[in-house]
This record gives sequence, C-alpha cells and structure tokens, in this order.
Amino acid sequence: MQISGKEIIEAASLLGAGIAMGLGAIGPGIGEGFAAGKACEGIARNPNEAGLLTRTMLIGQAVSESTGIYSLVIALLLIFVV
Amino acid sequence: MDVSWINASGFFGAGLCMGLGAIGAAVGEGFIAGSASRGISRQPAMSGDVLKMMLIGQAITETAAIFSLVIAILLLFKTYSGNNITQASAMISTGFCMGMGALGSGIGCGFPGAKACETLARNPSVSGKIMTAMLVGQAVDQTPTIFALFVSLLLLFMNFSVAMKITIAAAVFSAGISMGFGAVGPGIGGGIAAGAAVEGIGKNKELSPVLLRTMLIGQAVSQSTSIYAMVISLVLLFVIK
Repeated sequence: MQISGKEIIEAASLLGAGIAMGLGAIGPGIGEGFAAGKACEGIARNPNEAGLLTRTMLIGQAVSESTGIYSLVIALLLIFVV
Repeated sequence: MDVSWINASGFFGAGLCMGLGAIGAAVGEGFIAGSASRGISRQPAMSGDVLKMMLIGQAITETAAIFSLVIAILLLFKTYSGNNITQASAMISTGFCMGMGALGSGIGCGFPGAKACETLARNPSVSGKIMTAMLVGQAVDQTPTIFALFVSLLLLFMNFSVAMKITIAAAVFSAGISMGFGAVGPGIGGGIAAGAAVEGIGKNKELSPVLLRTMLIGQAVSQSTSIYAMVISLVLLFVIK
C-alpha cells in the first residue's frame, strides 16, 4: 500500500478530530452533572427558590457547555477544513 | 494483510472492550454496597429493604458491563468480510468505543444507588419514591452507554471490504475514540445529578416532582456533549470517503 504525505496529514487530522471531541466531552459532562446535583440539593433545602435555582443551574451549565462546543468546532474544522 | 492479523485486532478489541467496560460497573456497584452497609449499620431493622434496594441498584448498574460483554463476544466470534487495515482498525475501535462508553455510566449509576440505600435506612417511609427516582435517574444515566453501543454496532457491522485507504482507517478509529471518551463525562455527571435528587427526595418527599424535574433537565443538558461526540462519530463514519 502506497501512502502519500497528504494522506498522512489527512489521517492525522481525522484522528485529531476524534480525540478533540472525545476528551473535550468529559469535562462538560461531569461539570454539568455537578451543577445539576447542587441545584437538586439546594431545592431540597429551600423549595421556595426552585425557579431561581433552576435558572442558575441552566446558566452555569450553559457556560460549562462552552468548552464542549469549542471541541465540537475544532473537531468539525479538523474534519472538513484541514 | 494476512487474515490472522484481522483476527488479532478483533481479539485485541474484545479485550479492550471487556477490560475497560468492567471498571465502571464494578466501581459503581462498590459504592452502592458500601452505602448499603453504612445504612444497615445505622438502622439494622431495615436490613431487608436496604438489601433489596442495593440489589436492584446494582442490577441496573450492571447493564453497562453487560453491553460490553455482548460486544466483546460478538468481536470474538465475528467472521470478517474485509481483510485490510480499515477492518482491523474498526475492530479495535469497536472495542474501545464500547469499553470506554460503559465506564462512565457504570460509575455514574453508582451514585443514585448509593444515595438510595443511605436515605432508605434514614427515612424508611419514602421507599417507593426513592426507588422511582433511583430507577429513572439510572435509566437516563445509561444514555451515553446506549450511544456507544449504537456506534460500536455500526463499526462492527459496516462493510469495510473495499476501503483500502489510510484516511478511512484513521476516520474509523477516530469515530470509536470520539464516542468512547465522549460517553465518560456525561455518564458520571448524570449520576451525580441523580444521586443528589434521590437524597433530596429522601429528605423531603413532597418535593419529589420538582426534584425529578430538575434532575431530568440537568441530566438532559449534561447529555448534550455525548450527543456532540456521537454526531462527530457519525460524520467520521459516513461522510469521510
């Protein structure tokens, strides 16, 4: 099998895409779970603030999601642009 | 490439699959058993109910490891249509995807199970509501594992017999890495959310609807990264030519 230099670069960028998205998904997954867990704890302690706590949870999760979206963008760039 | 190399890659994949897949469920079940022991030592009269809750929680936690077992057995006894580097990389990728995919949910499912055993011993009157919350939480927490199972079945049964290119081999391998690692975080995170919800319901059973709702919203949002990982895997499998 003949492998050209261009093919090696393409193969490496495709592998990079998988690694970027795979590892990039670990952090946000755990972090958002923490946020949801603490929101549940907070609601159990003070049920009257359920709306406020849910809102705060969603904002916190959205911010923690951002790194996952960066990984997605980088993975798509590696697949389609490089 | 010789046929024996394809078989070797299949065996390597099967080993990765079952080895990694067994870690998570074992850790999770250990959590549950530990909390059940603590609960029984605090409230020995409840030992029967706590034991029942422990076994149900552990059975659901086991699901992820059973998925790995199935994929590992399929890998061991597969007959190969293709005989090239892409097929070999697909077999290793299948094993990695399912093995890593089972790790997160295995650990994650341990949290609601553990909290359920502990809160049941503390507050026996809410056993039904605790059980419901634990089962819902664990079921939703299995989602990333099911995504990983889906991707690894695709990798296992797609036909790679014509694709003799290093880029396609890399894309196929990358699909497994993406979905495998991508399922770890949401699996653990979803479990943390479910654990806290079960504990809250145990403290105050009137709050069960609002806590279940918050838990489900939180878990759904934390699943999103595993959906991104699945999208990238599917793009790598079906778009790269």
